[in-house]
Amino acid sequence: MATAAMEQRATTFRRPTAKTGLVGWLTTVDHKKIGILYGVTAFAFFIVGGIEALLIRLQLATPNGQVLSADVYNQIFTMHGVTMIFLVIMPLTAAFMNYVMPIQIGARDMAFPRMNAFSYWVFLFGGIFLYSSFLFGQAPLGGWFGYAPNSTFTYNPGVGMDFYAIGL
Amino acid sequence: MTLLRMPVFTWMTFVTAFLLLFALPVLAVGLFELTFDRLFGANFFDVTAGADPILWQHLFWVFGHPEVYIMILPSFGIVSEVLPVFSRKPLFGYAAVVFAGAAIAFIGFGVWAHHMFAAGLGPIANTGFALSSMVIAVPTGIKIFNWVATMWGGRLRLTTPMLFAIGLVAQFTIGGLSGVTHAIAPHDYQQTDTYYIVAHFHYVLFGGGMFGIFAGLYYWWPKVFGRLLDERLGKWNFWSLFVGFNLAFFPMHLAGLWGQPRRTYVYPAGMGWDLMNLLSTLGAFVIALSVVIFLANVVIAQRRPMDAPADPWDGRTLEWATDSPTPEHNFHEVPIVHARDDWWHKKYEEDKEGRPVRVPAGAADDRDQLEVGARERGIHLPDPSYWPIVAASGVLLLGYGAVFLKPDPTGTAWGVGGIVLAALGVIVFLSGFFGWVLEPLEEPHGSHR
Repeated sequence: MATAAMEQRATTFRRPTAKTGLVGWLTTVDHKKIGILYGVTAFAFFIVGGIEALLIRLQLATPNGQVLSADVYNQIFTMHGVTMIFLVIMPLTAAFMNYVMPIQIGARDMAFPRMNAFSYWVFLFGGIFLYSSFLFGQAPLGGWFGYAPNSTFTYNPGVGMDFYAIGL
Repeated sequence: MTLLRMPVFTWMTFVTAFLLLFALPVLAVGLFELTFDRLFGANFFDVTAGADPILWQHLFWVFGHPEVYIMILPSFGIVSEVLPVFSRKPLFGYAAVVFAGAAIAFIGFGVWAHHMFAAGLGPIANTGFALSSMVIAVPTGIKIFNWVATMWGGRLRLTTPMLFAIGLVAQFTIGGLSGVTHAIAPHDYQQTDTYYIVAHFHYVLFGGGMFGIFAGLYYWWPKVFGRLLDERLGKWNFWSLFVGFNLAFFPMHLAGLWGQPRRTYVYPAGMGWDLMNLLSTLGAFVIALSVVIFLANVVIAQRRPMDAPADPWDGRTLEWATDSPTPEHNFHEVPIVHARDDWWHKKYEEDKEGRPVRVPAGAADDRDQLEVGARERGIHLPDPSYWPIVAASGVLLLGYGAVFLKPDPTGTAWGVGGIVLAALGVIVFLSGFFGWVLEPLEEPHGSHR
């Protein structure tokens, strides 16, 4: 009877089976794939944050620089800080933690694989959310430590990391 | 595997997990209060309503200082893996390195106010936090001396991961020393909000954190993708990053001590800061060039066939015992661990003088090259799931809903769109978790039931 109930549920909430291709990546719970996702995403943000750094340095190359206005400069240096801390270094270390730690101790996966996947998606969406503020013409400008608009969700990747920590 | 046989990177992951667990809730509380202030007119930070003007600073830095250890400890772990492998010696003072990491984590919760010396906490608080901040240099110093001692007398192989690891040790030491100067409160009054601070935290986060991450990328790339990154390009990558990094950030120490404030978008000519800023900008572009070299290296490597051996560096820890790239189920048989650096001891035994001697070929190698998947081996792995991404997108919608809740930041109008989005977000989030819990443990595959 338990089996019958199981079969019944299986038709309602069927689990995906693809292990390759786009669906395979979107639904993966494999700690190694999640680690790679973290790494690729974080490196993409590293390039974005690096471009912001170059803009800052172009502005400051000479006295009374003309490249950026004060307002844009504030947004750029805030986003540089937030990006490098929450969207680059933390998730890059998370990439290594996800990929390497289980195989260093001879385990098959994390204790809570779906929680682990959830954590990655919250991080990715948090990053996208943060950067979409540029589309609305107002990126956070209060410094990485500060009173930023959107700040709750600015730091969503942080909360995702919290789940990650519990998931460990 | 027992706790004191765990590799140091795993240890630092463990310590970082605790830091995250205890530091992030503080940030979450602060951010909730901030959001309630902004969206619903709460008064947590409203000084005119009697709020403490430095409450936010306290909340933020109680999170913020452990955060810097959250960022650096994993890199310390990576370096503690890379240095022994390329020195052909076990890590010097394993227990000291592990417990120093844990000590950094503990003390890290007691130093936050050194970010606030200039906020006017008073001499007693400043003295206490100055002392605790100096104390934290001790476990950090223990780590640095142990890394140097690991290399001392070892047979060094200066591969790219090793170069990045040595780069971390050198540059983090510089960043650490300038960090101790901040701990001296009167000295900090001179430095606070200048480029000296910018120089310091880039030395620890870039010169330390990112160099460790690059070391890890080069070190584990063959394990992850089955291809080695090119060593010649890797050395170009390292040296250009090393030169560019120091060119960009060392002059900032001087500009800062000469009084250049940070977070200003222009500075006047004639203050003696021009040359230092120009050098920094040049350095930033050398760093950019270095990152381009790294990306080129990745592209070239990924176009080659997967020919990396399982254990290209003659590694010490278990990840090198399995195939490259790692099979889906990680290990064909879950390894039994008898020692610290277990994989090394499976490969080598000692002769009379204590020198390592290879175990005869094949004896250490329990890998098989059969292209057999986890299912066929009867290994249970969790099935993929749609629900994590569904639940996470609910959080995203909720976020947008909260932002558009008040379209007019000064007014009291409530955005209908925001409410709808937020409600939609809650529904998606909850249904994501309902799907999650109602999901069967695995699809009936039949093969191994």
